[in-house]
Amino acid sequence: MHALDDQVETDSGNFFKLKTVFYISALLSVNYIIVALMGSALLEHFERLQTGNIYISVSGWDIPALISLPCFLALAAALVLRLLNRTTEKRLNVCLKVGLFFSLLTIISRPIYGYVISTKMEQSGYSPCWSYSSPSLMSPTVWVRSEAYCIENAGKVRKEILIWMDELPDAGAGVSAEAVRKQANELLYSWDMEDRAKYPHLYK
Amino acid sequence: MAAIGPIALVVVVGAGITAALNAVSDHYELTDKLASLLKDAEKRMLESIAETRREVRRGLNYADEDPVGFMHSLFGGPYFRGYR
Repeated sequence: MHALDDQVETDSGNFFKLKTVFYISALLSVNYIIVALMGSALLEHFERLQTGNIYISVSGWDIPALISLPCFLALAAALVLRLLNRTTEKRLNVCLKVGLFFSLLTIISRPIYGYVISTKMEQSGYSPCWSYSSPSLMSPTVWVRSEAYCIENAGKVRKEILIWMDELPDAGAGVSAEAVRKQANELLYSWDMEDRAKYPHLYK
Repeated sequence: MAAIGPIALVVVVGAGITAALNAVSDHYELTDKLASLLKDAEKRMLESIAETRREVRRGLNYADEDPVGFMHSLFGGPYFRGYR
């Protein structure tokens, strides 16, 4: 009886509708971000692997995230049905089953894909470089073609180094490790000078 | 299946939201912006530290003169004239 009362109470009212619309838009925007940002990163990864670029940023999350898209869509569909008052038990069960299937598939595929991708990169002769990778959670790891290209403690200027590597001719073929080290040191020096000029109180 | 279903959904939705928000923060370099904001805040704090010291000194002087009144103005507790 309590459940029924709750149902009647929450199903009507503008606040409930607003909340549902917010959840639907949150789920759909997650879908959009996964396709737009992670999908384009995945395409770039394959392109760089084919040309043998000097660095490749590899995420272990992109294909599992793409697998999880139907799960988000199913949950959004269930919420849309609820919003339009067209929920039947059968439809809800279909939505939940689809979501459950793809979520389990995602959870299973993540470790397998992570193992496969790192093995494949190692076979192609790349090695992971932590100082070029973003420190934030679930962000892609940068793999460099030779271990010598990875400069220690260059995290402050990692974006500038990667941009410089992008601009190298022939995808960075035949670049010596010395040149990379020299460029990294120059970038670090100019970063330090800029920061000192901007915030002198930090360097007293 | 009924027991692990909601857990699996929560895990995947949470992971998806985390991945999406991190991708957004990476894309717009939000951490760099936050770092420069904090540096600016530190600069402003260092500039106004003398004023802060003066304010603290004033408050402590007030506390020495009138402890009950100081506690009253700090916590807004009840103030009985009879117990002064």
